[in-house]
Amino acid sequence: MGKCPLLSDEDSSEFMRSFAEQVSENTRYLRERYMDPQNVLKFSHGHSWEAPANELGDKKGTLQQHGTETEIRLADITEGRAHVIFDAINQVTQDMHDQMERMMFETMKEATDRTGQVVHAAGRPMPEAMYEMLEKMELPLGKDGELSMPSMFVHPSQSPKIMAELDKAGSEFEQRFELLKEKKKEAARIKEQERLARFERL
Amino acid sequence: MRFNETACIVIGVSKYEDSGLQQLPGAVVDARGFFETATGGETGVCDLEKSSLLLNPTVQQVRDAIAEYIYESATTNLTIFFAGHGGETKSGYYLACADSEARKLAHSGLSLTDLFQMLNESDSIHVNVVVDACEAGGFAVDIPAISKSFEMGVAGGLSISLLALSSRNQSAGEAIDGSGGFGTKALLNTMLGSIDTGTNKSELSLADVAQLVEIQGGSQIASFWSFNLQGAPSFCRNCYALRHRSAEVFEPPVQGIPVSSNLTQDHREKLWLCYLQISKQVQPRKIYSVLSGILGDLEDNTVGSSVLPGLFESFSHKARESDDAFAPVILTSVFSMVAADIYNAEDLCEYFLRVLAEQLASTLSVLAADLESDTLFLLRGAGGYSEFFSLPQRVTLIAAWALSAVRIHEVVGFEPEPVQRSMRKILACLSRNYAGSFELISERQAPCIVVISALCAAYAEGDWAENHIGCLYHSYFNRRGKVAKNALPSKEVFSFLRHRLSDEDADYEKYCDRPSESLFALLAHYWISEELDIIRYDLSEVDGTVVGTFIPKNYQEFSGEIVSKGNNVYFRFGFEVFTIAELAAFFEQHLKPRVDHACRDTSQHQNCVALVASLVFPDRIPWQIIEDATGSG
Repeated sequence: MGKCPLLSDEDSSEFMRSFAEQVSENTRYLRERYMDPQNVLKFSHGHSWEAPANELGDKKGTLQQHGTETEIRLADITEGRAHVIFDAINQVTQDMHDQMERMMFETMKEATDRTGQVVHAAGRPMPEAMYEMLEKMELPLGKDGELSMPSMFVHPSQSPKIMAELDKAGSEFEQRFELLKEKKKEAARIKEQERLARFERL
Repeated sequence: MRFNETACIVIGVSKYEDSGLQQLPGAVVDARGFFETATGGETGVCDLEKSSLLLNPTVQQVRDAIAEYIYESATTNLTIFFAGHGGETKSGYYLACADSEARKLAHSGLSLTDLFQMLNESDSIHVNVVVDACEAGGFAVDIPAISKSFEMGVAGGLSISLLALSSRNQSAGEAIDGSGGFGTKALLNTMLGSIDTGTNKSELSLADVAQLVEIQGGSQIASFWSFNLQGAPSFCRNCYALRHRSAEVFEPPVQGIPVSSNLTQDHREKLWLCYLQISKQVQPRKIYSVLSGILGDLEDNTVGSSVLPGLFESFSHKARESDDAFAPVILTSVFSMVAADIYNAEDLCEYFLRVLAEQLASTLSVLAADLESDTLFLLRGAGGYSEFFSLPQRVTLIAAWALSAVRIHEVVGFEPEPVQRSMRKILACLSRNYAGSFELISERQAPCIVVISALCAAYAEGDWAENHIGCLYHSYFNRRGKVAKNALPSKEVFSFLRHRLSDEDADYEKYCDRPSESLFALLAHYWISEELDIIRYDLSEVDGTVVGTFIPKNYQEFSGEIVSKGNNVYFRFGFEVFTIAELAAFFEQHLKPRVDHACRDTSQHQNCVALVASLVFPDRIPWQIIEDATGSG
């Protein structure tokens, strides 16, 4: 068999670079549903990272590899079914994101188990559990000076039930919750003042 | 200054003074056989009077003989042949002469490094070195001595081709009946025309011969190296072609006329960079620019035209290493353009076209067989997803090359029937296996559309053109005119494909060309084939679309990055043209007369080079080819 004619390595490698960039872009978009981009760090070398002076104990992390595969049928190319490119991107993006999501929740679970920041909701009203959750958390202030409230991830099947319970909890619970938020906000403000006061100034 | 002179120094050592070196009766037989072949008028290219046969010489005698050629003679093409003992030591590879000692080869043998250093003293010379000795591949360790030459990379400077008739770890055997060494026998077999070298040049280079040398029983494997960035490396006559198809054999242009080697360091570096890149990917625009730039800097045109064939030999040897079957074709096309554009040298231009015709014949013959045996052949080793963009273009381009090959054969006077058979097989395979890729996806297909339209009509393949161009035409409408612009960078291809599949209108800023030359070419096809009626009711669909093309002042200068002399003609549907009558009038009044005018003083060879230029640089259309189809040529 002879050599194949008129191939271009450059076209092929540039195309796969764009393909990978698109997967990365899509994955980033999905990741930002869970994670504030302000909290994303980027490293160019090595496979581990460390914040040795972190007072909260969040000191070390290591790179975890995620991988997936995609296949292309040569007949799809000869028949000009170009949409399979974008089907493959969606499949790869979803695979990568699923792995990343799994890892993120596992990491979070490990951290909360370690620090005792766990609230058990079984057998009690959800609003109470949420109250306890907020009580246990140390929340920062956002740039606007308001409390930066946490995101809550629930299984889609549980969502209507929780919403119904929150509605049922009534105004008394709402007031208690608002009071707690005010208390948290004041605590966060003081904490932020203390943090800033640690700088040496003229 | 040197004049064209080809000679050989043939050395055979059968008798050794040192009892540690076994007598080799076959070595002298080999030397005599090689000398006779190399200097025989019908088989070799070496001048008998100027050549030397050294039987059982000492090391000093060999050194003296080589020195005489290098320092005293006017030889421009020297072949050094050695048959005898050889061996690799810790310090390099050595050839054993009559007075050499087996235990002290580094002291008493002929050092290859030494030989190469002597050759480095020469200029304007090509040297073929052939060694039939044990472990001959071992002289690879001495090759760095060659690269130290200040003449390497200089136009008209030193160039070397090396053939070892045994590998580094192999012994070189000889027949027990005293008829000579196996390696030399195989070499002489090829030189004497027992094997088809697949080329119609009247003379073969050592590279041509080396790739066919098959040593009896596979006990020895030949190795070949070439450092002949330029030079005129004729090694022997092409006996097979002269015997079996003499009508198609052509003479390479005369080489070895006075050559100055006053190229600048910048010139040398550019040549080297081009040369080294070729085996990875032939970059036609870069090669064209470098060659035309350098040769344009030379004050004397004759110098340039003498250097060009030499450079071509080296570059094309490198191109054969490429993974792309079309690399030699593209490279030769570029050389034909440089010859035609820069020097306007008809003989040189014709020479490159003849080589191109040959290369196309062999490349297309292999391709036709591969396409017939493997329905997905064009995707073997291809780039996966990027082929959604590349394959439709490659299919169109292959068809255009196959058709152009027939035209080139006709122009250079070769029998077109064999390449026409390949062309038909290729077109049939493309229709059978790649019809789903008959799609207009890039403006780069525009020149191919015109070539396919005109040449299919000329070669009774009108139905194929109807089908292929019809598919391209419909895909233009299916994709709402979203055809990639000619200069779309590779990194934009992915986002272009996404754009093409979307419901968005064509983005002329980022992805598409306005005016569209490909749509103009498609419409021209229906005009050429007198079938405009088919598209009568489609014109309203392209309301507002601008189409047009470039027509040069003449087709003699059609290869430069920018063709400065010429005119762009265009119109907008729904403004200047509404009906097929107006469309036909535009072609008749504004395209045809201008093309006729541009073709006025252009020779067939120049037209052919312009055709090739448009396939290699697809931002120009070879409208001159429609002359055949419209019958006005």
